[in-house]
Amino acid sequence: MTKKLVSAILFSVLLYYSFQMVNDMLFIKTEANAAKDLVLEPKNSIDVFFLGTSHVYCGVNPLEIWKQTGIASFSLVTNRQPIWASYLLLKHSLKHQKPAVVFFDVLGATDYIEGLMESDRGIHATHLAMDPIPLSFSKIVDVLQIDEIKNKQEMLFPVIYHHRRLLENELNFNDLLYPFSRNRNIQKGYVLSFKTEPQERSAPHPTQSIHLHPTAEKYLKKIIELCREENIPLILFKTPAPSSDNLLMQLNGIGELAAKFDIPWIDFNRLVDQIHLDYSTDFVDGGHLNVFGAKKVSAYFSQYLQENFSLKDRREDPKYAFWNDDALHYDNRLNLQTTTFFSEYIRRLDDPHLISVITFDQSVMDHQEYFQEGKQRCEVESSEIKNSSNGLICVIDAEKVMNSTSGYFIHYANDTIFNVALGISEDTKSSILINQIEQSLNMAGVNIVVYDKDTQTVLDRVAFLPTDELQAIRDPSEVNP
Amino acid sequence: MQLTSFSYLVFFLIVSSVYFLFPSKYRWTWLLLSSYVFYGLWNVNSIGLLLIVTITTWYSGYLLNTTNKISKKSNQSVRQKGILAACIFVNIGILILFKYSNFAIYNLNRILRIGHIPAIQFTVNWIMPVGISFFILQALTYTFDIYRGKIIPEKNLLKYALFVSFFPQILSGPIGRAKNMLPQISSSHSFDFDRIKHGLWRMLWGFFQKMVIGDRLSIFIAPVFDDPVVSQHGGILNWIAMIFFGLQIYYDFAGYSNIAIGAAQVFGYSIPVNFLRPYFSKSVVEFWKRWHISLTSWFRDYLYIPLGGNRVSKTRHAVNILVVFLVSGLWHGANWTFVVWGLLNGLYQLIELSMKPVLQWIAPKRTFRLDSFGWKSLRVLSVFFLIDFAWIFFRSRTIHEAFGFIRGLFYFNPQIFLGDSLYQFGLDRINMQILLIGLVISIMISWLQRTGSLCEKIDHQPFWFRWAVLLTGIFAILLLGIYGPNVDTSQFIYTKF
Repeated sequence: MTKKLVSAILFSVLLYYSFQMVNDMLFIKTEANAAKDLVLEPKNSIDVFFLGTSHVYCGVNPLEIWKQTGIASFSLVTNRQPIWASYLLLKHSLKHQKPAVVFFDVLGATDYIEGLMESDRGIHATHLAMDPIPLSFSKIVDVLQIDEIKNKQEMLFPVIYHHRRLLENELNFNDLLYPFSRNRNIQKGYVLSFKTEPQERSAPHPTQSIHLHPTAEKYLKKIIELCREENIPLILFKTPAPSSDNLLMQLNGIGELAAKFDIPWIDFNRLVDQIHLDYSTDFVDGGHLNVFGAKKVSAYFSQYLQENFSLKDRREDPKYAFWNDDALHYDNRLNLQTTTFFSEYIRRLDDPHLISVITFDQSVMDHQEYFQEGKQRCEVESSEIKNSSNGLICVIDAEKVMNSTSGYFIHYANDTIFNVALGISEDTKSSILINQIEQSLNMAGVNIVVYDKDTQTVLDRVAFLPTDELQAIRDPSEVNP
Repeated sequence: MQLTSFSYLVFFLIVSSVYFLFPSKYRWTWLLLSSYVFYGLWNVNSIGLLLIVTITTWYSGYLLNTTNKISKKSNQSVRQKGILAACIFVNIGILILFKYSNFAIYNLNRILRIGHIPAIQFTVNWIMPVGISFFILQALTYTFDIYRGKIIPEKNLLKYALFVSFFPQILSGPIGRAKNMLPQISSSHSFDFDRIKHGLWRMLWGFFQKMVIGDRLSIFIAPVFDDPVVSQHGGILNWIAMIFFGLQIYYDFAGYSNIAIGAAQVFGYSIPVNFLRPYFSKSVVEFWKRWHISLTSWFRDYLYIPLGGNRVSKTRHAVNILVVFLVSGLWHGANWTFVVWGLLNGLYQLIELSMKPVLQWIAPKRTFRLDSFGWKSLRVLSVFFLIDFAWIFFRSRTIHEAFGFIRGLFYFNPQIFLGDSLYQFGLDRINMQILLIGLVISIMISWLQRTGSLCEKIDHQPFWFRWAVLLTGIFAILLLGIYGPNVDTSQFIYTKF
């Protein structure tokens, strides 16, 4: 009997982990899967949490804060995060991390909540926040206690909600590999956007205030209580955004509540001039900041943290060396598209998160002094370049360098296929297909396509022409016929 | 709380875990409490009715026994018949009141309309208590068997209450017998690992039958049957829908039965099986011995045999068969479609009986063996077709719709197999493929079951094989089952009866 019981227990453990694995495959992944991303950070390594909705993941950049102060922060954000999910997410995250400060963006505490209560949108948004949290006794208790979560079974067993994705062909290779993936979110919850859409600045702040929605107040108080129990200072904030009078009055109400509980309150809508926010250049849309706006808000947070908390600068700490690597990768993402010097460009490709496809022809041999770094990085000899009639192909994926003189090369990375061919016709000298879509600029000299494995997007397409200093071209129309 | 819901699994897990913590002697009390909670979760108002059925049948049993002891022989029979009649009157009366009142008023109004008499402006708006058709028949077996002297009364009303309300079977059976169930309630049920394991295996198979096969079939059936425009010109679609419904009702109900039997097995209770590979039957008579066995045997023992069974004249025998099938049809639902379905099955049996002499006459002239594969297959396919044809009436909402569907069978449209037309009725290509694989697996399992218990066969396999089968089964249900938000297939067909 003992043997049978042991066998039953072992099977139950196997079943639990298999169940967890299937959930991980099925749930909808976004650029920020807060709970799962946080678990992949070393335990108790994060000093600051930013909690909230997409306004936070577009508006606060932990890597900017890192570069400026060496403080390790993390954005616990999911799309349209309902305030009850913020509370549960924070509660769950505090088991893994012991931050010194928690910042909570109060958008979820405004009338934003009304669109999320008892609606499919709210269910979906709650799933985005809750699904990456593994099933545990505490998750069961938490979900059962939240009245706003009506479909408790689905929240505890996301497979009920998501299993249709398998037959509806919504899963891709990355979903299937997700349970085994240990890829950290190198942007620490931040979502990079260059898009710019000019906005109208809000009218002057009204002086009246509106009382909070009762549900929002209930969970805001729970968040306050939780932070007090854990002895963690809480700071309420609101990222800047063009706001209606009604919203500004609600923010006044939140300010009053913060004062009542003696909690610092930062309303960036009142700090627009202080942080030099430009409404014509710093927004993606009517609610979200772009990379330029996020830089300004993050700079404010850097200063605020330095002035108000004695947090360690960890930039020299060997345990945090990977933060410097992550910051480098972020810089690559940020700057690759503006880099014009070939040697600097090649150096930036030294990034395990990127796949770089490089093609070049014999013409580069006339500019050897500039192409030297390219030869070294692609591990090719001058003789190989000279002997290749159509040119050479070089693919760099993480530490691995693959090159081909045959004129054809196929590279597979998860469900992405890179199909490279040279000299197909008179007009097509260099063809770089990524999942059957042509990405090469097809110029003489060097053609490079850089693919970001994390975001699964093409980060940059560039050609370096066989002119003096290998001139960078991103728009083929710039080249004179 | 549907049996295929996570809530049921959680409920079952809690009940079964606590069950084995109770002292062996009192475990039935926990089951009684759980059964009432389970039934109350469906509709707490129906508990009163369950109590009435329980008390009236138990008390009639007590009275029948007392009459037996104190009355003189001459009075005994009359008094006992009176008590039995009163018990049947109350319980069948409840069933009729809830299930057939509106049907009776509707038909009466149709008759009144012929005589230009004003219609009765009254409808019964009570919610029919779930499982009523099942637990009333189950409770009546107690009264009948005491009347016949086959069992002695149960002194403990609470133990008897568990017999009537036992939660794995209260919704849709299998309809148990007092003589089998009551002794089990009084005996002790130890923690038997293998028994529990086999019970869980059976439940798992039930979930697969219902959620992966049965509910997937229903997706195709509904748009064909429920849309008169489609069903009257469906042609091949109608043929497929007809066959699919025959399969759906089997996988739906067999799935339910396996979940119920498996759950009871976990607690140490043995309740009767309901299906024995019925679609492999070689005659309609055989089919009805292998289909919904607990109900057909109930009608056999408590209706057909009291009517005289087959030990009467040929005409009376034919009438007996038709009466049993008529009642069986009505038992399934208050609609003329069920009446026609029942009578059609009765008619099949009569034709089969009348064919016997013809077959005996042909027998010496035949050039093939009766046990040849070809002959047996022909018989199995014929029975399958006849039964499926009768199901058309069972599935249709009205007789008119049923005849419309039958007309649609003769519509010639082989072009449906070209292109993707077949996949426009809810089941796309991948779902059709999953369905086919599910059916193949089911046939393979039926085949393996012919030579003994499948659980025991799996027990003899190495652990890695058992675990692999189990995990595959669990995740096949979780990933390929038809369930989840905005899916309305979870209700079992028979819980409506």
